Amino acid sequence: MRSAGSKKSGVFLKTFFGRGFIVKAAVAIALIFILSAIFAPVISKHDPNQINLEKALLDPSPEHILGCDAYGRDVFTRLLYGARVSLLSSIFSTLLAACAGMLLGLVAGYYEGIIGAIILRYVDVQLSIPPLLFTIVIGLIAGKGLGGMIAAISFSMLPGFIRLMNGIVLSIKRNDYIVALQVANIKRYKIILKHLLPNSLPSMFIMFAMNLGFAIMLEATLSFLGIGIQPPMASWGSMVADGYIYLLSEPLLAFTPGLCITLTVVAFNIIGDSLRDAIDPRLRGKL
Amino acid sequence: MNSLGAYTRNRILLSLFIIFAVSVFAFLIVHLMPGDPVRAVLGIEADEAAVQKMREELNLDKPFLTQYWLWMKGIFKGNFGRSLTLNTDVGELIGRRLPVTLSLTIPALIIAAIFGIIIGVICATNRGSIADQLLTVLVTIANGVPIFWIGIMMIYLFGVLLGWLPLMGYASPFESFVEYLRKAAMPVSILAIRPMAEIARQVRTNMLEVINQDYIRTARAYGLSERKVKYKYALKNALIPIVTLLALQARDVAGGSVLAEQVFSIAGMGQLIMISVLNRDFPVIQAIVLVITVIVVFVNLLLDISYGWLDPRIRMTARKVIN
Repeated sequence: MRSAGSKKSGVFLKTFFGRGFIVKAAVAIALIFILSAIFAPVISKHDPNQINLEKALLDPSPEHILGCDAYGRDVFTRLLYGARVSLLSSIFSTLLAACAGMLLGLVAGYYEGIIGAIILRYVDVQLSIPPLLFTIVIGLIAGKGLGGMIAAISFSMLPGFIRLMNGIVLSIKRNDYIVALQVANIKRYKIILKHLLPNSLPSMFIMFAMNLGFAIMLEATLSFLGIGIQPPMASWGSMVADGYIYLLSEPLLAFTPGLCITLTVVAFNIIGDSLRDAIDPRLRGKL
Repeated sequence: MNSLGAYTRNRILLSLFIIFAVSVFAFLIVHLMPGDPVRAVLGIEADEAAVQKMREELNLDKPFLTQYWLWMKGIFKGNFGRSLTLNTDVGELIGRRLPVTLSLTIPALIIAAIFGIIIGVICATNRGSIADQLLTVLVTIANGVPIFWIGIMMIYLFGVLLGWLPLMGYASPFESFVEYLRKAAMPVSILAIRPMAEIARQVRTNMLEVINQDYIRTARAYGLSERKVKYKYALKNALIPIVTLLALQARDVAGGSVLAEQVFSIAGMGQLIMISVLNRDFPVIQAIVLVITVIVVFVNLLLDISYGWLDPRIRMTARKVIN
């Protein structure tokens, strides 16, 4: 049994890293950002929010690798703490969207009928509003700050999860063994918990992984627009906006946080794609 | 009724339903916003009489359904209400700013479509070449790079370092076309990046798929020139699904214009919504959500209908599903 298991994971790893160098680089970059988010206080001794106007717009030096921002705060330290905000908010909001999407998609797929129709029409309506516009309005309703932003991001990812779950449930439901269970009078919740949910997990996991990069991008965008993370908390998006003011004299201030966003999102997208190819290649082109 | 008629009718009905639902959503914004919208504008210390007077002016004292009815009735008469903070008619504000946004988004979509198709065809006909591999890199980066950051970096490169283009601002193409081109070049490019990459990828995939179809093999067996096979038969069929993708991109570009206008200080719809969100100016927010979505739904409807017209298989299956 054990050898069969390790063989299977060997195949998984082989397909996962199938695209070679690119995937390894993506994993390395993602790991670097995750580790720097976790160990931010260990890596840098500076306080990310400590204002020190004497050091305002200081150029890079051994003590401040990337210099200081307009309030004299160490840019490198703020990037590290910004990684925390980006990763945490994206993981939370994607998780929230995945759970809510699974539930709603399950209801829509399993019970079809009028409730299902309402859920699916809701998805159509939300998808017809430009996503960024919708997220901004939800952000306004949910309020500023971390909580409101997470709510807004997960709301805008919801339709994708609902549609995927609904499709999975509809296709599994038609299988003979499910019909047989229904005929044999097995309780609904048992069928759902034992058969529908476990069968949907691989695809939902892939969708989750593929949406992480999207969530990071949305967080950065909202914070850039000033309706996400509020000062003095560090976020890559708001750091780009703050740095933009000093573009003429200190272009690095806007450059470095944007580079962090790009690297993380690209890395997470590549990992998501490779996970999909390794877990379920049939989903290629669909997800 | 023939199948194309039924397909068109169903698409129109669905679009009308979506517009109605979005109007309800837009209407609800004022009631879902935390806090009292009137107090938010007048200030916490405003006296009760002034607050009450404003509530009456905005119909907020009336029953829920009456409020929706009055709001919609006004819109059908072209009356979107008054901005709470800008002291202007909302319809007038939108009338001034919508052309600005359209003059950025429409060129962006056209450029994305033209270059996306060209790149996609080049990559599909030279599969595995350096150009083809570059496309994969381009698509990956285009999906991962924040367009507001690209915009700022372009300002630094082309505006500050090279001095080729003005840093920001906007000029109407009807007043000075050259000035418009100089000022719109960067915002239009950042809006075009992502749709272009998406379209290129889709054209490449479709074209490779079509080339393997039987009818292409038959065309080749008949001795048609490779050029004719590729561009007359393969490309034509590869382009049909792009129509749907374009509808999706139109929606995303409409959202992206918020960022382009913010970065380049352009007084369009996107900048207006950011100002209104910060001022909690709900009549403007409601109107913008409604107007932009109606435009997007209308564009989608046109593209959907032309899609059914271009590809008979679509309207056939649509008929089966709906009836």
